[in-house]
Amino acid sequence: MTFASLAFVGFFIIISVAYYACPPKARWALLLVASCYFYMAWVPKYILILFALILIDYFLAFKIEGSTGKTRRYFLIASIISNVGILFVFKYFNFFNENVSALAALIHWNYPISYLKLLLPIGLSFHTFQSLSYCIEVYKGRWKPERHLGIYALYVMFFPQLVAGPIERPSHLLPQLKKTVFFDWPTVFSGLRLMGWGFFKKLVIADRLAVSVDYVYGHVGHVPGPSIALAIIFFAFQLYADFSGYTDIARGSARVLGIDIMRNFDRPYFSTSVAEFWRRWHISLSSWFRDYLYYPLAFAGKRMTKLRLYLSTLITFTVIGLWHGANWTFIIFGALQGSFILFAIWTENTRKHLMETVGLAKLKGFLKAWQSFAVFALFAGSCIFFRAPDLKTAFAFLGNLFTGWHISFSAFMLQYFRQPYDTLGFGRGNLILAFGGIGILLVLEYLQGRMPLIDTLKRRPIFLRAFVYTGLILSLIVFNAYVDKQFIYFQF
Amino acid sequence: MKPKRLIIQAISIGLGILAACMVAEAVLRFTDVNDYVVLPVDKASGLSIHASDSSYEISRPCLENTVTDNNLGFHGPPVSAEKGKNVFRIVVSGGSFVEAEQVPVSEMFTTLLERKLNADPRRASDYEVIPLGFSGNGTFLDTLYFERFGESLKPDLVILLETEYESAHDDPRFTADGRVDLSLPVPSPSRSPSMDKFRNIYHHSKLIMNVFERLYSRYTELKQEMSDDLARMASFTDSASDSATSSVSKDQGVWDMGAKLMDSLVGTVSSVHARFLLATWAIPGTPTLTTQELRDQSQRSADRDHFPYLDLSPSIADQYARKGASPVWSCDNHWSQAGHEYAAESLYEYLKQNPKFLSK
Repeated sequence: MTFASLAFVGFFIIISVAYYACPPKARWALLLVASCYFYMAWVPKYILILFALILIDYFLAFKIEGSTGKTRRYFLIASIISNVGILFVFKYFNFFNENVSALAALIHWNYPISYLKLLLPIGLSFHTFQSLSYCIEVYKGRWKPERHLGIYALYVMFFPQLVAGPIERPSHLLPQLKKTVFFDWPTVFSGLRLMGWGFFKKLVIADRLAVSVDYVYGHVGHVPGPSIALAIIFFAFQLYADFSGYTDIARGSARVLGIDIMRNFDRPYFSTSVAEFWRRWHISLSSWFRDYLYYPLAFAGKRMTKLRLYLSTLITFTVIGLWHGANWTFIIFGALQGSFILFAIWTENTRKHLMETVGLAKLKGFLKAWQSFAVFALFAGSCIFFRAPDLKTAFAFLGNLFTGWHISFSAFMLQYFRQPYDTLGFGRGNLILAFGGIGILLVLEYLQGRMPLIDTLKRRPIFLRAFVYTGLILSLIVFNAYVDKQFIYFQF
Repeated sequence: MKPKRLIIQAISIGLGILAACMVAEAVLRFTDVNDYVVLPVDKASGLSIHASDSSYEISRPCLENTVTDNNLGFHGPPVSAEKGKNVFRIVVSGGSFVEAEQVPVSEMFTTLLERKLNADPRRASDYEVIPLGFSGNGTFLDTLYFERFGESLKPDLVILLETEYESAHDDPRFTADGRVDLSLPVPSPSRSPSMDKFRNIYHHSKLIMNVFERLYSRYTELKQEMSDDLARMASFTDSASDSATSSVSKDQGVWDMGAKLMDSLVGTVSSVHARFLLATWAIPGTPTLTTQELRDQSQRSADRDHFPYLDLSPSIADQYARKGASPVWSCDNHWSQAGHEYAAESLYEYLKQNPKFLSK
């Protein structure tokens, strides 16, 4: 069952009604059962892995709390090993094995270990990191272990954010799972509104862009440079609309149940530096790595050197890349992000000087737009490695980017507007809707940065509100791309 | 709240909704090239059929096509009522795969097959391959369409193309003694002209047609999804690999009914002294067990009624592996240009290896 399906809508309606009809003390049990059902709709047997991890972390948290010194550390290491170990076996073992075996072939060593035929449990990277943050917080003494096993299990399994985050922290989510929620229509309505916007981003924008992106990536070597350039832009928006759409649905559905889930995106394509971009993109993941990897790497020990900071940045982003998937493409994607940030640090003074010299520093609006464009271009370009199935495809894609640009205007209009099937993989109608969707997304996010749109809408005449909500519902029905694409981040 | 204020609010909401609908309609007129045609009903048979010599546009996210219907109302080249002296006629009956709305007539597998057969300068006859495909047809409707449009063409060979869909979605009528009722449903006299007028009006609204079509298709998908999820959980199997391992199986009753319908069609074809060939193709994503069942049941029907059976899937899969172009569209389960080429090649190879089919 995916969020973008009527099955989920039916499931969610039933659960929401039952949730408010059920006595508050039993609601955790209802949500837990619902979460199990939701998870089991994919690979039922893998719920046993989830249960095992829940039990291990539940008990280890008490052990961590009840011990001191090295023993306390050992219990934390045991938790890390069990979580990361499972993640390694299911997600990284074959990648590791493939590379060792390639290395073994180089030195003529008969490497005996074969591949594991395992499917990646859905949302494994998300819930293991959520469990890890719980044990680390207990270890740091910032959080007491949760005594109620059911509530703890729900913390790990809460269905809106089980399969693709946001990766919650115990201090934010656990207390909410224990408090009594009363039905409050404005909150429920705001949750539904958020879900509606999330569905719009996923079904109308991301899925439509996916048709063209899949086509171009599937025809590397046959499509010209302009198609590739458009696919690069399209994928950047597809990825954002897909993942932020998922997050909005997750946050909206949790809000309907009276639970607040953290924001995962804050208009990232309006960032003016790569570092800022990563503070506004997949916030729950980047803040997780900042708190639990970057800070310990950069600030542990007595001496803090620039080199150490640089290395910590590079390592953190490379690991963020690897977190996304067991492939060299993801490692390069992560390393590129780290490199962009380091490059920005090293060239900060030069760039400032240059901007003052050419007078750009005075044109603040233009400068901001230029910086946002540059950040977008860097991210979209690096996403070639995110989207390509392997390095060979990624480099072929990059190589072909510079071909086929010598084209007359009329031919360009014919191939890229009137009949774009062979160049972009979809028709004129979809092309218009794709650009329209991107336009709506950017305009609304830009306006959101200047004023709180929802509050503004609430104060507008009822005619306008009826127009907006009907428009949203109709868009979901008639402008939905209907291609049944899974959410991109579900694979992680 | 005062009644006057309430009325003003209701009117405002209504106007807001109307304005949103008008904007959506305008955007759809600009972006949706689909023609939502009202299918006329054939007065002689009561069967729905496209207007003869007409054309309409279809659009999916990854394809667009102008569907040109011939003088009989089927997607395909024009068909002459009279059969030439040295002409060998092959009628291909079936549902959406034969109708092939997704490709132009020149790229339909029936056209390609005809071209391949006629390419041989030593051929004994001139070949005509006539598609009689209508989307949504199962074996029952295939029989009715063949009776109405196919028999009079005096075919020498009838090829029935079926997928897993046909047996799952057939809705036949039976006589009291359990035989298939092939009496053709005559159009209901209760269908009033004003109703037809209304249908014509709402078929011109792209918004209404989109809302109706999409909600209806989602409703059927929802029913299927829910039952699949529950079945999977009950059997503790894996959703990600369900296309390979799912135990979803059709009820034996459906297959039994399919066999009866097949008998009936074979009987109809024999009555016009034409040979009969059953070809099947499993739609990708169909659970393997059902695919296997389709193959087994088709083979069983073929053995029982003594007609040949050709499973196109292995040959198409083999060509796909060699040539690399996907046989289906990325956004639609029907055959792409490559799929039509593969299907034509598979049928051509089979007919070449079994020349008895091509002799009168």
